[in-house]
Amino acid sequence: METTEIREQLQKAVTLSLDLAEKQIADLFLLLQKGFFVSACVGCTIHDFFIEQLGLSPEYIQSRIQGIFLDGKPADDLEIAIIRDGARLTLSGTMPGLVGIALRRGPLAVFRHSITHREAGDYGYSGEGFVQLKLLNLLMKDMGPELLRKGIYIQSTDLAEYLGNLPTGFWQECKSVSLDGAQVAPEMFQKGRWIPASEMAKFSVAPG
Amino acid sequence: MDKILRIDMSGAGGPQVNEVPIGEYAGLGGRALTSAIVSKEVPATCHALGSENKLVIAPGLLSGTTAAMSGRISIGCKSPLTGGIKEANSGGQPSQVLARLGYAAIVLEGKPPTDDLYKVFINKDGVQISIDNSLKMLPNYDLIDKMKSEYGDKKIACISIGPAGEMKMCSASIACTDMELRPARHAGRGGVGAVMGAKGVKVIVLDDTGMAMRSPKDPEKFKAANKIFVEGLTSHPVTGEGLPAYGTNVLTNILSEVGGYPTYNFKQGSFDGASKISGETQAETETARGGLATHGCHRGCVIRCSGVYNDKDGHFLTKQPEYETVWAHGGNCGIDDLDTIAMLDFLDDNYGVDTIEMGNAIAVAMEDPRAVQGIGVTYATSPMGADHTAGYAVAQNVLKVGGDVDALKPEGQVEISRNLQIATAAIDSTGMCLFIAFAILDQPETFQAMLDIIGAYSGTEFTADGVTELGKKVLTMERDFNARAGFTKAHDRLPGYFKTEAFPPHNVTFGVTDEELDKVFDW
Ligand code: SF4
Repeated sequence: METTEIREQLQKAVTLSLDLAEKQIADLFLLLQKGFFVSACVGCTIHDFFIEQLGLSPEYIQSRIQGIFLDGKPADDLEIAIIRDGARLTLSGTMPGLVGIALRRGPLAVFRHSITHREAGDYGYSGEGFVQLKLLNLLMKDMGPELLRKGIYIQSTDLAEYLGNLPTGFWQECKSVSLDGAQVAPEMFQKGRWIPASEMAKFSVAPG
Repeated sequence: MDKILRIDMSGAGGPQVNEVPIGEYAGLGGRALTSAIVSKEVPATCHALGSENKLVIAPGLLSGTTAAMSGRISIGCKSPLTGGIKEANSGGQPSQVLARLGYAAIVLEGKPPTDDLYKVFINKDGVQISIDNSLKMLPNYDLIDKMKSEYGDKKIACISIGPAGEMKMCSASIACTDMELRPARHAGRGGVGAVMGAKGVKVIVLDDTGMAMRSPKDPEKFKAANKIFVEGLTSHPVTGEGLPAYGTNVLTNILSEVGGYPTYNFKQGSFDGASKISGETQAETETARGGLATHGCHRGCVIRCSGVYNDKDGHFLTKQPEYETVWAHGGNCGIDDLDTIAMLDFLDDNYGVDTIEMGNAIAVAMEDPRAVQGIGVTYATSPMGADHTAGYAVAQNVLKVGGDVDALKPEGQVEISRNLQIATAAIDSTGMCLFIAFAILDQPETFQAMLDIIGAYSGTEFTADGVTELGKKVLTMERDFNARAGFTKAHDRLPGYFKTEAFPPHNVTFGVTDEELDKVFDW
């Protein structure tokens, strides 16, 4: 999808918010591995995006984020690689295997030099935009709760399928659900019953 | 482990058992020992399924001790698949049990004159070999059930082949039972199961009742080093958190993201269904169904990258499928259903075939070498054939072999590939699982602890140079065998299309030249 097309869809997104118990957030983590969108100030380096917009500390970035992929390419220098409007940023907390070691930042970067992200140097448009994020493995539980609280944009069909597969118990525990500002019955999301009215949904949780 | 059990299957009156001192092979274990015996005793040009080939089963040097992670076993022979020397590595219980029984190796030699099928039982009292044709064509799980009813299910560990091994298929594996006595761990690559089938041995049952743990020469130093080693493994994000939580299949999402995931028979490098079969989804599914997302393949493993995969009704289906199985049966076949992949994994284990061969895949494209070219160097030049584990361990930082490399020059890839192959050959000889690589790469004190464990075990000082020397020695023996088998540098190449056909999404080709590949073993 083109960036302009995605932007239009984000503007038309339905909003869905779940009021649930804190421990239930973990049931939503797998939603984050396929990719979702967040509003962001783009035209900045990955480093600035992490610190200023995601609120991560340098220590956390160094110790926990082992794999960083910008538009599908391993990014080594976070202070140089630029996040442009519509960029895809995938973050992994564990990188096993020879291939994992080669793909993370470090001495084996040479193994995949032909696919390494190389920065053209032009910051491009700078200002309000959006970024597609994918959170993998350990980072889902580290960064997932905060992002879900703030709200993420996600393809409605993916969201509907995911929610439809959650066990009945999840919905029984869920305190309330609001769809475009109106309270609705949690049961309407079970087993694929919810047919979303738009391409994208803004999804958030409010643990009480 | 000062003796070798040689079983000559050719005798007209039945197999001849010969227990001999370890002699000239003293101090070797695991891959160093299998490659030393095969390289010295097997004529390089022999038929892999003929009487002159030997199947060598060797626990690692540290197996049977209390050293963490030390339960890997090496199985070596001339490979019917590659025509070169092969060491296939497996987890499971047999390594520890065989080591505690005092054997540095079992060597199956010769070829039986009849098509009878043999069963070997080894315990503290000795070795019994009997014909048991009722085992013919039994799948591994049924076979092990039968062994449990015959020998009890408390202390035994089994090494066996399924129907594929009996049929001498080049994709046949050798199964090793795990802690629950399930034949779920396999020495998979190279067709080693076919060689066991050619020797007419269906199963080796090991019972170490009454045998003690093997003790190191310097118990105090050994214990202290082991403690530091374990702390290093448990505190590292990959070995202490990532691998235990998600296993190796955590790579599915990552490789699909960077375009290196074999998809639709290698047509493309990203799979739309990746998140449905990812390690993350797999772990969640296992836990929700009452299986286990964290489980060791043998006692003494502290990383525990495996798991237990139950079916929808909560019954055991198979062990947690590994990354290789998931791409081979999943993305590469266009399958995005974990239950289907798990069932295929069970069938592979039961019939005794390597999951990668079975997924209709060639290992050379596993992590596509056009995307990750340094791996291509390893695939092309490893004496083991294109085997992803051949250059697994990383010791570049720690061993300081060759100094710094320029990240953008192909020479750097050759240099690192060489160091990886050296380090891997050495680790494969200790019985340690290669997954320790992450912790020893990043944490010098964990690497030092590993050296100290080996040193305290043997009562000598073991240094990083010792690791390098051991690795080079193993590779030299293996390359020497392959040279005698007719391999030349023309075989140290990847298929031509890797250089000419661009691989989407990055549209890259393999750019390391032949001259550079030929420098891998210049040391
Ligand atoms: S880390 Fe995994 S493969 Fe290695 S010994 Fe443990 S369970 Fe087996």
